[in-house]
Amino acid sequence: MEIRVFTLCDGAYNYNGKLTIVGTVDNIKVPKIPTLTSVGIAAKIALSPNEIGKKNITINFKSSNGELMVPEIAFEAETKDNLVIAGMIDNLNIKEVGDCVVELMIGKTLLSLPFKVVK
Amino acid sequence: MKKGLSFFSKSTQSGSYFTPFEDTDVSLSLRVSAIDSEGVEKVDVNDAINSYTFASDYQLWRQETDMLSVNNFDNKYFNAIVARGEESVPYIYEQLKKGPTHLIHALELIYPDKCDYNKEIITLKRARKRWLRILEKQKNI
Repeated sequence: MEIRVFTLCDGAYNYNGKLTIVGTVDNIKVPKIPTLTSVGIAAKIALSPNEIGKKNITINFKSSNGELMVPEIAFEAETKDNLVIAGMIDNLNIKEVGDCVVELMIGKTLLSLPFKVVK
Repeated sequence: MKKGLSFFSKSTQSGSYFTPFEDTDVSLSLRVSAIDSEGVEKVDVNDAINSYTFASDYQLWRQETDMLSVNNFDNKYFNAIVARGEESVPYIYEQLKKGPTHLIHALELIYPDKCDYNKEIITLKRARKRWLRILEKQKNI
């Protein structure tokens, strides 16, 4: 499995498998704590032939203490050579500043993307 | 249900906050494609969106109102659960199976004709049992 793109952003759009990403970010700046905010997530993952097939996919946003910032996003996909994911998450529940992580789990493979929440 | 990305609705500074869902009633927009040399296949993620939206609304409703002793139904997240009507019911049913929950009041609003008890005097526990029986009779669960 090879990560071609994996980022947080202001906007992510998947138009027939083509990703449009607006404003990649690795810090989420908030005016106050606690707060709700929105964030986009974009990923393009290349799979090797032996990884192709039905996969459970989950996306989790975890705060610095390991707490989920939003409910788990979970779905099943019949994967092919490439997997393109574009999502916009509303109501990202921010209770503290610090180092956070997005975990994208494809089958048994875990891809992690760290980000910071700053005030 | 209104869906769709509207992420250009407000300009942002890097990593700042914005509100791309102002004109929608879902809190997740997700599009997934599986691609190979033969073409692009759209992955069905509707269940994931509905499940996420319910869980998010339920969590935020509880977060905002659990400390209140009364009137915890005048809340936009509770209203959103009710507004989605029967789409919310399978997820409410799952919560009811876990134990008593104030979500029975959402069911009273979604199915006003099926509420056959006096809301003022019944306990949450008994109302839960009644609703579990009603919902299990329905085929859409």
